[in-house]
Amino acid sequence: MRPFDWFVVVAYVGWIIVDGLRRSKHTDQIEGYLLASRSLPWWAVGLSVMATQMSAVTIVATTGLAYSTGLRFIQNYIGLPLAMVILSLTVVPFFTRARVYTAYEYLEQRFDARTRSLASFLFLVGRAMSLGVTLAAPAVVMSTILGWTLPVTVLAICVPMIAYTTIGGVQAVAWTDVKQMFIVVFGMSAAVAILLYGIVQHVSLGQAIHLAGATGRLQAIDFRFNLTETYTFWSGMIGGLFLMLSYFGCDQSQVQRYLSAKSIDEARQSLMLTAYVKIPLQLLILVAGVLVFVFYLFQAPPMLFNRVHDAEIAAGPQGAQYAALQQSFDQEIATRRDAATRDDRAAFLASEARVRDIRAQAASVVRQATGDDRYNDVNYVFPTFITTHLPIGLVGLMIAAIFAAAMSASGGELNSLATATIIDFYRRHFVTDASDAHYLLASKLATSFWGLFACIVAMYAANQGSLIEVVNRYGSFFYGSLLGVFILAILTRRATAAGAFWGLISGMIVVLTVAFTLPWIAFLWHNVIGAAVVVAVGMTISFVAPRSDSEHSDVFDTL
Amino acid sequence: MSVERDTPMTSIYIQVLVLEAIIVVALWVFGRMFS
Repeated sequence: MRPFDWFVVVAYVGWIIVDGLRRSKHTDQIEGYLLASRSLPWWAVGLSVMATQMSAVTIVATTGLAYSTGLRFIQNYIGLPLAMVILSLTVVPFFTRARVYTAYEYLEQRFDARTRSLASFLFLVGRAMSLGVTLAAPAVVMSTILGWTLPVTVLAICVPMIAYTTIGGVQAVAWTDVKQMFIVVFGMSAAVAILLYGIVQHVSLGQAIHLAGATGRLQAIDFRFNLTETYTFWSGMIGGLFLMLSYFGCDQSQVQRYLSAKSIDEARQSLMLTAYVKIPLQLLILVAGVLVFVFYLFQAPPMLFNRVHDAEIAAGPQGAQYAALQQSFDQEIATRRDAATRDDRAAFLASEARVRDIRAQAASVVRQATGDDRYNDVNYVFPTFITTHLPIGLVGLMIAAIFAAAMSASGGELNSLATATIIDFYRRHFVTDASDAHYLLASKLATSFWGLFACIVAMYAANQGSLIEVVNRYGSFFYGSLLGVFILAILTRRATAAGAFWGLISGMIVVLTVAFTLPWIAFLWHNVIGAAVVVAVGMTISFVAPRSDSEHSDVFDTL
Repeated sequence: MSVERDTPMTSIYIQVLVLEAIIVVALWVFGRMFS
């Protein structure tokens, strides 16, 4: 990174924060602070929805995944457009007309306070932990790439993000997200253009596509029905549909985005923007990863992209073994480049297999030498390409985009955590009749608290690979069950509060049981199982147990 | 502007789903052609 790149990083991050705060209006009122006084235009809400979902991990990990395995991850999003249509027809008008601050507030209107509190509690626990991981994962990568210590990297992301989210509330988050999406699209498009230019210096575009295709990296769609395969058309279309319905329909970090829209129509249009743009945008990121693979067929790549342990291993007892692997790797890269240039498919594939094998051996040496069983370099591929092959200025812009992605995804989550804490617990159970100013101050304190909590979790989680995995899996443990409760609330008149509450608990128990006793079932299917169990148990109890007097089944007639 | 403004968007929903179907088919064909 050259001084001008650093200037771009600082200027860009500074500008998005200052401009986000400048555009925040009426943040001296609780509705303005938490919901932008329900005044945001559909395009800003739509871009904020996408930016909240697209963290820095999406940029660094998805490109790395495409470099290693190709386009198949796109199947994760196949259920998204249909989910957006279903949500536009169902929860959007319900939530907007109910004038709620949180999705879970609606559950009390429909069922009772304990169902609302349980759902909100599940959201808080899951989102608070995942917020730390959302910060930790890019911080680990960026600290290695930039040569910063981990705490400094975490603070570089957290301090500005906590400051603008605490001061400007949901509006600062939304307007920051808008700029973020433009810069990500511009940056990724520029990276793709530079990659294509670099590739056609060596082979034609058609030959480049054939090379990528020969390794299976262009096989995006797999129509086989296989419960053990994480990414197939069916896991994306069915499991992914349930996941997207849960995430965009029941997770406050997303619901709060479209609750801040001007009207039902604008909220729907914001989701339609996501439905149109998400898959092409995700494809752009994946294609960049595949192009990085083709690019490195003609430029010498590092043996391992995560080089944080290089010096330690070279000086240690495995130094000679590692040096021998490096020598074999260099020779094999030359052989592969020659085969790729000649378009000799058989020789190219044989050489590519050997390169893969050497890389696996090198990673194994690193694991043995460092005791880091979870070592891999997938997340380091794209940042390495950025910092070594992009022109001056664009390097700074892409690094700024990664930082800003971490901030915008985290800002949305932080804002929603504060909202659920204050609206679903503090104002509902503890201080029920205070002034607007009191709840505003409490919301700002809650935002700061969750920001600090996320920083601490991020610093701890960064060195706990297994914890990151547990937190990532946590979402799939409760998302489907939450969706089940909202299905009972919105699509059935017969469902009772007891049915919803015990159905939610049953759904979670069954999903946890399935996850630990049948680990071969891919996690996307947990969402389907959870929702199905909640609806089945909830409806059974609702038919058996009588409705209590305190329930508001007439909410259907008033919405 | 009324928060209640609620107009049918059936044609947009159909467009979204048709576009997605086209993308899925195109990706599948592309993958088959170059595998």
